[in-house]
This record gives sequence, structure tokens and C-alpha cells, in this order.
Amino acid sequence: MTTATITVGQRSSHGGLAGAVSSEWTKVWSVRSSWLNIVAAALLTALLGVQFGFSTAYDNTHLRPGHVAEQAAVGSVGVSAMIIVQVVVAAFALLQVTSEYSTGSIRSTLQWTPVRRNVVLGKAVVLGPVLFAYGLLLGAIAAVSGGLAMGEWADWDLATLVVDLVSIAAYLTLGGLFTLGIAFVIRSTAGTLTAAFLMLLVLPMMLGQSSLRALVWLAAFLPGGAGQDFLSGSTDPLSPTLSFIVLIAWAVGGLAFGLKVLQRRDA
Amino acid sequence: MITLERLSKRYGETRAVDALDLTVSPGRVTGFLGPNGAGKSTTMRMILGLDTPTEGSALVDGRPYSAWPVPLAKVGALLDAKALHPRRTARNHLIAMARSNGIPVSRVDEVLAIVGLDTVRQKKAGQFSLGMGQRLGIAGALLGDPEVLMFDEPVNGLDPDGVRWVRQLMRSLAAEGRTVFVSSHLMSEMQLTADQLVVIGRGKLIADAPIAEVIAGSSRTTVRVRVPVRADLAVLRERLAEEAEQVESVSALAPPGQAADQLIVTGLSAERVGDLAHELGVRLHELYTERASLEEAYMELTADSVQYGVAAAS
Repeated sequence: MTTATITVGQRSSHGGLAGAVSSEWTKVWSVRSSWLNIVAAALLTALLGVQFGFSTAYDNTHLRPGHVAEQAAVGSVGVSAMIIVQVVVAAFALLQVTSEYSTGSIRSTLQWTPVRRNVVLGKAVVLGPVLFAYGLLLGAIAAVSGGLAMGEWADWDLATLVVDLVSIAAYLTLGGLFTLGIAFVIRSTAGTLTAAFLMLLVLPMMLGQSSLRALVWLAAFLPGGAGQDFLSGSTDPLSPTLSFIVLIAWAVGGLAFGLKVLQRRDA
Repeated sequence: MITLERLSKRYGETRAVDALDLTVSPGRVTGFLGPNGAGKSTTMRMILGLDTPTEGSALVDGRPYSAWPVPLAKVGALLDAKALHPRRTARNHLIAMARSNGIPVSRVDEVLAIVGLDTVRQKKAGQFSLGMGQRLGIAGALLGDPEVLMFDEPVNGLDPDGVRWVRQLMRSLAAEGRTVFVSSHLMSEMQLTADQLVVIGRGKLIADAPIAEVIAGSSRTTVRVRVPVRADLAVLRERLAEEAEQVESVSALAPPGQAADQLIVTGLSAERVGDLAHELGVRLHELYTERASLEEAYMELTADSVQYGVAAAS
């Protein structure tokens, strides 16, 4: 046993937001669940890509009356796959918060970074680029697996693909940041996952198919609905640009709400 | 230095901490005692800003903990050794902690060596025993080389060797001029470790005094005097009763029923008893102080806080 000598020279320069960002980056990549999540999402995306690809090829060779066979952009496979895979990506984002509450490590985090704004911002600053890269990766996996499965019906136009991939990445980033924000409010993994599932997938899908115009509008203003309208380039009821602005509002609003709650609550 | 001013925390009707005024000074170990639920942990959590006080303030060197730019260099704390991700390795846990405050990673390996965990640093923290978890928590507290250290029950789960090590660590940290604030329920341990004692009960301050003073103030600390001449015993007893809180005659050596040959005096020093006997010309065979243990003093304090509050003020 060494004796307690703790003489240290000129040390530490900064805590604050820079420290929080650095710490969060370390935390994300030092637990296996993050890596497992990425592997799971990649596999799921590849499977969905193959399925959508074969389905497109089948439709083009078994045309219903009045339909014309046409090539499909490979990026569109990514757009279709994201409807499902987004929930796995949302889980990646929310686990950064809910695992801290379930293990009690949130108290350590708040001790290291006592300015709570920096805790929320630190996680968001790390997750933003990570989710964007994650989205690019998954979009590319879907495009390649789907494109190969489509065979001759695949349209590999690079410019279209790049636009699709960037759109997918942007959507997953904003959806993930929204989920991160509400995770601070809900705290439990199951609860946050349920809320994200409802807001990103179930509610917009149900409401969007309604014959009531008001419900279609409501769907367009939910994060999942705005995301689908943005990704599919839909102009009804909102333009893609407006849908993107709605998405940004949900992400910022979710994070602001999460911060508000975190600042008021005892750890 | 930690300064609490009218620090209060209410949960509904319950006053967990009630208008606590306290200064914890550097250069010594301050023991923080109180029955379960007395508000010790809540007080420590408010010092770190984990809980928000209902009223009052908790400052570290004049500012709230959260206002310090490098908080881990100001206060190092071990409140709950389980507050970590069990599937992250011990080293990675400390690296995340170090980076949050811009502390170089080399310091992580230093503190792991100090607490004796360098051989298990790649082990997942969740697989640690209670004692190893405490050591990891202590490593975290030392990480920022802080001026103020707070430990909540630091020797929990440690083996005797570990307990001794923690005691030496606290003493040396205080000797270096740091502020050391330690809660514990092990009185014998506190008696060996602490210089100053802070006792709270039901969220209120019961005592804040040097440990020797707390023990001396206990009614269990008595002066025994043996008087060989029976007539002298009665004379001395009468004189002592004028100044002492209590004087009792006993027959220590003789069997029950025998005449008393000793007095047990509460509330007077041995010096005063000796001087009075000299004034009366009473011959003494024995004169000594029987000190209470810290545990006895503590039990007495927490059993009746109001009584001590008056005695401590006088």
C-alpha cells in the first residue's frame, strides 16, 4: 500500500462545457451497449434494405395493370428502412441518459459537471455529430443492400444518393436529440423508448392516414410525421423545408424541456 | 473551507436539514455524526449542489460548488461508491471523470496506484467488491487534488488494513492543510481519526466542538478519588457537592455492604478535586479521571440534544 502522497503540479485548465463534451465522448464509447446498438441497427438495416430491394424488383416484374416499371433511387431504400430503424437509433440516444439514471451514475455526472446546462449541452454536442455519422452509415448500408437486391432496377445516381443520405442523417440526428431531451424528463429506458416510439412512429403513422384533415395536419407537426414528410419530399400539408423546421423545433424544444426539468430536480 | 448558513431542506412536512449553521475548517479532520436519517447525506449533497436547499446556502471557499470553474479541483467527494456505470472499467470511469474537468489522464493512473487498484484497473467497476468500490470512490475524490474532501461512510466494507489506510489518508490530507469532512457511524474510528466533531440530530446542530471537549463534557467522564479516612470522606463529599454536578460514594474494593471509601465526582476536574482536598487537609490515596468513550459521549448527546445544547454554550 502506498502512502497518501497527492502532490500534483500545475493541473487542470478547464471544466465547463469543453470538459463535459470530452467526458461524454468517453462515456459513449466505453460501454459495450453503444457498440451492440450500432451492430444491431446495421444488421436490421441491411435486412430491411434487401427486403425493400427485392420487393421493388418483384413489383417491377409483376406489374399491376396501369403501372409502369421504373428504376428506383437506391437512397429511397434508406428512407423506407429508417421508418423502422429510427427507433433503434433513438434507443442509442436515450440510453446515454436513462442508463445513468438506472445505474445511479447521473449523480457522479452532476458532481463532475455541476452546471447542469453543460450536462445537457455536453451530451447534445457529442450526440449531434455521432448521430449524423450513424445516419450516414445506416443510409449507406440500406442503399447498398437494397440496390444490390434491386439489381437492374437500381438507380445509383450519386447526386441523388448523397442528398438522400444527408437527409436521413439530418433526420436521425434531430429525432435523436429530441429523444435525448425527453429522456432527461422521463428517466426510465422503457418509458422513454415508449414515448419515442409513439412520437416518432406510431402516432404520426396512424394520424397521417386519417381521413380527417385536422389529424393529417397534427401528424405533420409531430416529429415522426415531419420527418417522413421531409424525407419523402412530400409537400402536403407542409413543404419539406417547413417540415425540417418543425423537426428542429422538436429537437431544440425537447432539449430545452429536458434541461428545465434537470435544473429543477434534485439528483 | 465549507460554510453552511441556515442551510435547510424540507421534503413536504419533514425537515431533513433544519437551519444548519456550520463552518468546516481546513487543516483538520471534521467528523460528521448523527443517527440514521439525521440529515448527514442530504447536507453533503447540498454542498455539492446535487440537492437544492429549501433555504440558506452551502458555500465552498465563499462560492457555491457549481460556481468553481474546475469543481473537482475544489472539492473531491465520495458520497455513493455505487454511483457509476457497472459495465464501464474502473479506469474508463476515472478517465471520463478526469476529462470532465480537464485533468490529465496520467493522473488517473496515479490515483489508481494510491488506492491500490492499479492491478484491476481494466476490470469492470460492477464486478468490484464493496471494499474495492470504496477504494475506487476514494480514487475519484483524490483525482482533482482538491482543497476540500468529503467522505460519506468511507470505511464501509473495508478490511482492517483498509480501515487503517483510510485513517492515515484522512490524517495526512488534513496535515497538508486540506479541509476533510467525514461522516461515519463508527465511533471508535472517529475517535482515532477526527479532530473536530459535528453532531446533528433531526437536521439540527447538536454539537460542534473539538473531540476532546466533547468527551470531557460527557457526564460519563468522572473523577474518582479514594480517601482512606472515613470521616474525611464525608467532609470532602460535602465540600465537593457545592461545586460538582454530582458526587457519589462507593466502596470500590470492599464487598457490598461495606462502608464507602471512594467518591465519584461528575462535573469537576481532577485538579479542582485535588485542590479542594488539600484545602480541607484531606489525605488522598488515589485521584484519577475516568474518560468517557466517544461512543458514550455521542449516545448521551443524541439522546438528549437540548440538554447538551445548553451545556455546550456555557
